[in-house]
Amino acid sequence: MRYLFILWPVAWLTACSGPEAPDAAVCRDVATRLCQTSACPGVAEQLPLGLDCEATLLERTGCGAEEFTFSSPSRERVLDCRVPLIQVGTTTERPPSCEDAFQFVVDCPDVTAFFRGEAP
Amino acid sequence: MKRWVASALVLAVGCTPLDMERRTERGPVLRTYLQESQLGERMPFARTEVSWPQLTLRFSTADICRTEQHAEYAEDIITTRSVPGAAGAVSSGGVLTAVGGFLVLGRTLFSNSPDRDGIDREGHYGASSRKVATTWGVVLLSVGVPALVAGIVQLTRSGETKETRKADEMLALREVPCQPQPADGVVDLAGGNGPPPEPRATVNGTLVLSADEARSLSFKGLLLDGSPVLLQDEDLSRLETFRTCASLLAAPVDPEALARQAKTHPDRLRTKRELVRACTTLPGAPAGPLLEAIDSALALGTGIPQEAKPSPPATTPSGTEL
Repeated sequence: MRYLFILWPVAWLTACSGPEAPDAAVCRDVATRLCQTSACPGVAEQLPLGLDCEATLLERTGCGAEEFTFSSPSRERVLDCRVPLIQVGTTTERPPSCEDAFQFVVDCPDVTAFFRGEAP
Repeated sequence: MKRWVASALVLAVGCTPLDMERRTERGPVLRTYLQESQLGERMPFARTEVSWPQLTLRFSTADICRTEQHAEYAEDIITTRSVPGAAGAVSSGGVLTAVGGFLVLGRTLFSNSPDRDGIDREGHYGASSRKVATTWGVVLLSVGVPALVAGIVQLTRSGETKETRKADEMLALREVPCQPQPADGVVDLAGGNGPPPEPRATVNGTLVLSADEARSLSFKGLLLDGSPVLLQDEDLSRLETFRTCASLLAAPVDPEALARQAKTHPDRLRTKRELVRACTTLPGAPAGPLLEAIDSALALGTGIPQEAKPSPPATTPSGTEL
């Protein structure tokens, strides 16, 4: 009883989060993280990127538009594949490690293809 | 609702240990009184009277009356209750409650827009500053309010209570014979050396011993019909003095022998003088001639008059057994 009394504020704290981010924001978040690791071995080969990395990815995926929504891959698939990229943190201030980015490319070829501008 | 609040308080403070110290302080004396009672056990007693050359023993049976002197006084029982950490709980609980209350009540001061800098693994933005402040406020209130309430309750439970009650103490106890009645019976003079003297019957509760009998009989105690006879201190002293004087005054006065003893053993003669001097306390005892002869012998033997260094009479001569 005492532990429940102490734990319920903690549980509330951990459940504290804001509104659901739109698909375009999630897509741009992934694009930013991929660009931060575009020079990593294994990533550059799978995602050939130009000089302006983010503009290129936004153009390929179309998620530069605010009304963008995921269809294939789905939003849930993209969020699952994004998990290795947010191991370091949920903000983009700290880039993911090359290992995490490579894991993203290996585990999610369909999402990688989406960011290459190909149909998955 | 009250039941829930009471339950929460019980959970919060019910198991808190309460240090309790109790001490007793003696207050002023309210009154003193005597309590008298009888033991209900009649015992034989004897009193002594001397009319030289006779000692009269008057036997009686008497109850033992007990007199107790009591003092009734006030007694304060002071109980001190204290809870270690109560002040700390109030202090920390108060701070947490104040900060938590400020965050909750002042939550409108914080921005309600979500934190768009990050997206969690479920695809949600970070919580707004207002939501974070509210959450932390509720958490701090959840911890601070119980601590504050517990501390306040503990402080109210702690304190000092004084209970005054009456107490009784026996100051003195005295047991004396009371309600005497003359008693007749057969008296045994027991405890002496050699064969015991013949038992003697009392007449009208009395037994008379002459100085000659007292000198010739050997005994240490008296039995009346087999029960030990109690003598009070003055009667016991008088009996011993009578027996001593019966021996000292029996022989004729010999100034020459006394003069020799004054030269050879002056200390013994001084001791004898004290014994003879005690005989003057017995009515009718002819101790004067012997006392004067001893004084003369000592004055001649030592050259110091005995009256120059008087000493108190020995009422209980040493070496006399009873």
